[in-house]
Amino acid sequence: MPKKFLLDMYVNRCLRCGGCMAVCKTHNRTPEGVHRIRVITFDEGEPTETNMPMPCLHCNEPPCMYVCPTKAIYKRKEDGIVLVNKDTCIGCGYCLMACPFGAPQFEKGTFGNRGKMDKCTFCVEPYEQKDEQGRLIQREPKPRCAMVCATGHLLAGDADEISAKLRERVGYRMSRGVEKTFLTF
Amino acid sequence: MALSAMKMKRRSFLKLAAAAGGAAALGKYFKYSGAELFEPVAAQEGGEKVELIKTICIHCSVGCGILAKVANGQLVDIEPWENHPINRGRLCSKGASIPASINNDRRLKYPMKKEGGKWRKISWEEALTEIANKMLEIREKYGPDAIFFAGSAHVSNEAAYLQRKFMAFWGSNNIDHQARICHSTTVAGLGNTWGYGAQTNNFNDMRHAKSIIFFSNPAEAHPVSFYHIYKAKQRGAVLICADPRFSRTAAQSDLHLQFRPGTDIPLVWGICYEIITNGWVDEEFVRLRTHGYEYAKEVILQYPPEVAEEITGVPAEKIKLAAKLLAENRPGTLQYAMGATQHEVGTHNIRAFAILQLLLGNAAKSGGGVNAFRGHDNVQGATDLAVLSNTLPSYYGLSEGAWKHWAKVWGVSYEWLQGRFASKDLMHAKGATMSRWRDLVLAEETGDKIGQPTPIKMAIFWGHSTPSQAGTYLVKKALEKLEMLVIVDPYVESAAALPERDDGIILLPACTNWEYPGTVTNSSRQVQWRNKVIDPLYDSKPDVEILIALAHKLGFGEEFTKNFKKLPEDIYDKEIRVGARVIAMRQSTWRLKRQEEYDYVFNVETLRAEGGPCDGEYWGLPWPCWNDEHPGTPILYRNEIPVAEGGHDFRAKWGTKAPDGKTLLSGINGHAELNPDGTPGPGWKLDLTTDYKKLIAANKVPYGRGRARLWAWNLPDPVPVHREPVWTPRPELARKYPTFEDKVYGETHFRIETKGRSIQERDIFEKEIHKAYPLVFTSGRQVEHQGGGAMTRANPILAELQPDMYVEINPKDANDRGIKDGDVVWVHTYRGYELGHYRSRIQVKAKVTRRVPPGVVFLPFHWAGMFETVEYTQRFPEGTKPIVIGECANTISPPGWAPETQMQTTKSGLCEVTKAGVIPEAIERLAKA
Amino acid sequence: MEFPYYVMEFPGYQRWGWEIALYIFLGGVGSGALITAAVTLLLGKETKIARAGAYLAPPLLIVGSVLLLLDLAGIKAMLRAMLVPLTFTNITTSWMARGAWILLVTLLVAIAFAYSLATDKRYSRTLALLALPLGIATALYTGLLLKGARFVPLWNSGELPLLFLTSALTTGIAATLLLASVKEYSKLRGFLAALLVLLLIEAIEVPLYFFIIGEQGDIAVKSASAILSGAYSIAFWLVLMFLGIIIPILGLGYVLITRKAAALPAFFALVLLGGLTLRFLFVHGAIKAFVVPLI
Repeated sequence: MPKKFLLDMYVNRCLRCGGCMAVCKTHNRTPEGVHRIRVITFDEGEPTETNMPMPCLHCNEPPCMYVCPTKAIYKRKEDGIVLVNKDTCIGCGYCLMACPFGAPQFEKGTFGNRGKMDKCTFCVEPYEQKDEQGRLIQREPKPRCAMVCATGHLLAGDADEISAKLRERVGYRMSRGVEKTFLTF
Repeated sequence: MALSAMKMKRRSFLKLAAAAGGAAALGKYFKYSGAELFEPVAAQEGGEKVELIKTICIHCSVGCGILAKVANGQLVDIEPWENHPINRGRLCSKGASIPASINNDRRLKYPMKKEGGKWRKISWEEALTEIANKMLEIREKYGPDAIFFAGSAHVSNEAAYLQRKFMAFWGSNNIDHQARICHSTTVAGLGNTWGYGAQTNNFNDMRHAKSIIFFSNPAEAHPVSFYHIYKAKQRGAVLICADPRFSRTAAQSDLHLQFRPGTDIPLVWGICYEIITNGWVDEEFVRLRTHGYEYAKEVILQYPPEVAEEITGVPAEKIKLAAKLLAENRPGTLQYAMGATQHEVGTHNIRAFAILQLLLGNAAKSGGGVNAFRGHDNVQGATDLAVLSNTLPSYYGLSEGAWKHWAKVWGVSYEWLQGRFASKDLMHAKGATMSRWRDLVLAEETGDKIGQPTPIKMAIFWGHSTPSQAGTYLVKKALEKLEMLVIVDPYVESAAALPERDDGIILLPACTNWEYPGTVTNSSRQVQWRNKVIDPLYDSKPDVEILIALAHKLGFGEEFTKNFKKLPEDIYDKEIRVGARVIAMRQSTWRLKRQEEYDYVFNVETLRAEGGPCDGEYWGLPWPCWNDEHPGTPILYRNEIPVAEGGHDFRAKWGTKAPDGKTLLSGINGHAELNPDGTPGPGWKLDLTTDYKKLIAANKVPYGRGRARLWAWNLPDPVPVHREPVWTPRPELARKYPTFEDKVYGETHFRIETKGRSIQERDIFEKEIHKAYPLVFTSGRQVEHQGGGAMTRANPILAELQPDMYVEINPKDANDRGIKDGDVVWVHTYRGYELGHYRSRIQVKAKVTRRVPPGVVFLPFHWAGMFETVEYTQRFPEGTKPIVIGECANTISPPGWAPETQMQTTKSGLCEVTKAGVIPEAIERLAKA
Repeated sequence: MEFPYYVMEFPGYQRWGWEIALYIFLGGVGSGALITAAVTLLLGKETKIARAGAYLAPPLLIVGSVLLLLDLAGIKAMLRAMLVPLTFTNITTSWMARGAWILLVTLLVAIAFAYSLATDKRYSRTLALLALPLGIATALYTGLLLKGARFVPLWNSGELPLLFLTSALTTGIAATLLLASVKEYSKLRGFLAALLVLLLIEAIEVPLYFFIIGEQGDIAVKSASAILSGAYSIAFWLVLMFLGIIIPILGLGYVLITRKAAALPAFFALVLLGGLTLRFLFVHGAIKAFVVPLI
């Protein structure tokens, strides 16, 4: 089953506590300005205020992969994780323009332009992909952002598992609290 | 300490991180399974050990567990502790970025001294000798009370306890800490209502609530608590948020009651009015377990929702709806924090909350209760162990009996202790407080009467921040006037740089809480063992060791450390556990360590261990925990379960009969407080040997089974009534609901002359400052920062996530003043008048948002580095200044102090916002007058 | 997309900078000049003008490519990017990879073409036959490159490559004639007529583009309105439309009627200015959409 992120917009809404962003930076050691996940807020201060953590959603048909001129972006066969090979990335920024979610991130590079692309790896690789001996560092696909998400808003894992979890959660709320929900509106 | 650790470079750091990462997967990708991740794993190369150490977060009072990943003695990463019963691995931005706070080269690396305007590195020996000599000189010249000790809620229980003991041995009650300006009114309010001034339930228990009413903003201040709150929401709970601001909590709630700052009581009474008039009161509960309903009812009936609407600005319809929702969804819990406590009427706000819960019958049950969310990681522990000027550890007070009790625990004689003090009177008199110590320094300038022989001449800031103290101008002047200032902190706290002085400051580097083991009590009274993760970095030392070294230098080291062989466990097991009987803080450290080892047996719903060696115990053994067999009391005052299972009742603290002649003993098996042998008497808290087995076997509560008091006859307002804030924008209401009379505070209040009504008379009625300063000021927290922010603002991750100090202002007010989002603005107030400085102002960024209603502005208080529009970071020692700086919101907080606890007012003041550089004429005129 | 979603403006993303805008302009002018030269040669007219176009194309394309390289991650990435066949492997789906190939081949052909015109003219016609489609491909590809970024709604229209092609032709002709500096009106007449027609097409096409792009949703409307009536309106109406298109049209019409060629270089310069403004407007005025999946 492909690995996916899922956002619960129904019950456990995001509080923008920043745990995901902070743990990502701690765990993956991304430099300043590179956020593999970041929280977007819209309608701040309005009754419709919504916060959304936006990691890479590891699309089934990733636009970034299609537009990458050097095939640096690839989707792993075994679990569908979209990764970037920094050896072949030339930092053109085309993926940034093509991604609907703003997942590709760039550190400040030469001439004040962007550096190589970095993106969410489902925690399988840190920012410095290689160790001292030049071997690729590989870790379990267990995103720390979803593990620390204080509200459980951000779900990660196999697509069928997390969708079942969300379905259960929403159903529970709808069946137990529906009258009370009406009371307040 | 290991200087080699100091030289850790980024390169080797990355290498270690890579090793740690590579080790988990051994170079080749394999399918993840939960078990592998949390086993300590050996690194691939060079046999480096990678360990995962269970420890507790150092930031807020939720007490989240974190696994620290340590490779080669260095902290390289953290992992979620998924078995921790409170947070199940969940963390907010502060907890998730702790490695960047600990491995940070902005930390204070060695003791430093300011001499001739320059910072100089000195040795520990030199530093401690100099401090001790100065202390002794001041003692000689002015007496022991000329020293003020600001303790900390950010240290372990052991260190907090030693701080109090240190000042007791030094011979002064001038010791205080954050709890004074944080939840001191909770202790007074809840304590006077039902016995203990602490959160009654716990975070996990909020899952069982059917309705939750928030009086603060836990979404930003305690984000991880939402793990449980959302569980309740999933199960159909109604969330109501009462907040002057449309906070992130309000955004998640079903109903938002937007009231004017400082009008909590009329709002709660409006809800209670509906509950009483509609017959929603839990009659049986009120009849059997409370006292004074008729008095409370009489007051509440004066505040129908329409009157409440007039005062608070919340539509009466919404108040009625809130009452209906609370009544129909029981049990419901009430949550509050600093928004309710930091008022002159803080104590009464809290009492109103407790009365609401008592009327609904929500008190003393699972899913109900009053959940006071505290601030710092160990502020509950530091309060219990009394880094406070008005009591000895465990709320014994300062009476002769209390001193004798603790003298016995400490193994010294009462007479010896008394000899350390300037006089017997001062030994039993409450000391200076965090909110007013600066006035005790500046007494000569301000002309305030003081309650001790001389003003304060020296201050020790042991992990206390400056930004949280109201009236920064006065704090700055006080810091400049002191003969010596000692600051003990892992980072350079802004107190070191704020005063414009060239010498007389000594900085001591304490290590962070992950560099020394100890116990820590979270908000819900759960005591957790916090393991040491790494050795202290640089030349820093643990608080406990610094205190003991200083005690030796001062000549009472022998007496001070009499009972301690193994540090830090003996501090807890040999003294705290023996002496802290009022709150029965009698957990043994070995039990806490055992719980930590068997974390996985605890049920996250009940927090109770199911099987295993800890069978039946509650997580953290929340006090009262009477003996080594007792499971702890996760929910206070439940009388339907036996004492041996964590049951008990409201405290019989005020005798058996109220002044009106009615009984104060519970209607269900009520009895007075008992001696260990079962006879009535106060022996339960004075006997040092008993473990209460006999009483517990008989299902008797040692402190008695009493009633909750709706009518607290010993307080200025026996039943809370509305009192307008000292600086109110509604003078016509202030005439009807005036603040406390000056005489309530007595001649001196916590050793300093304190005024209430006369300030209101002068500023509001005579000078009419509300005309020049029409906006209501309120303050609060940002999720990325903690307390004064010395640590979080120096953390590169958190500084990147939240780099701004700002003022939130409604678009209407902003447009009236020609201010646009992102403009640099000045926020003015009338503060500083005590020293003839009539124009305090701060320079911040404007954030134009509808979060705040028209007429109210909000400022976060974590910031330092600028004072009255001028940056002072050049006064920090080189390389230690925080990454992001800002103005301190408390520069413009209003005057006003609670008559019970000297709590400062920071949530309802007056101010005016203008573009930077503009001073309105009205303010100019007022300053000249 | 299958799921319900909400599109908002992407907060604070790293835009493409002036390098890309300038590259698209230079690439357009270069390819336009190449097309002009090839057509001129194939129709057997003025070799001076053909030579001017052929000489102009390679340096412009080279400068453009260098600008493109400057935008990349670093020296290493630049060196690697120069090895086009080894680096730009994803020609099946990526317009940037295809573009790199097109640009490389066009550049080589343009150099050969210029060389052949300068020395012996044996292969000129063959090379011109090659250069013509390649020039058109280069001009179209700059549009397709932008169109390929689907989530910048301003760019997401099939009209864009055509618009860029038109602009490439007008600026290419203008630049070629500017360099050729032919004074005789008779030699210029055909070119001026072609330029006038193309400019008239552009005069309709450019404003029309910003009106029809509204179909792409709110963000496209937002960026289009920023260009038509917002922050970029002066650049659009005054510089691009008035100076860059209207004035040259009037000027060329005047020249065609009166047959006085003296003021022509000024009009050519204005056409170039208009082309440059157009590219900058498209790169800087673009707003990236952020798709909020409401799952």
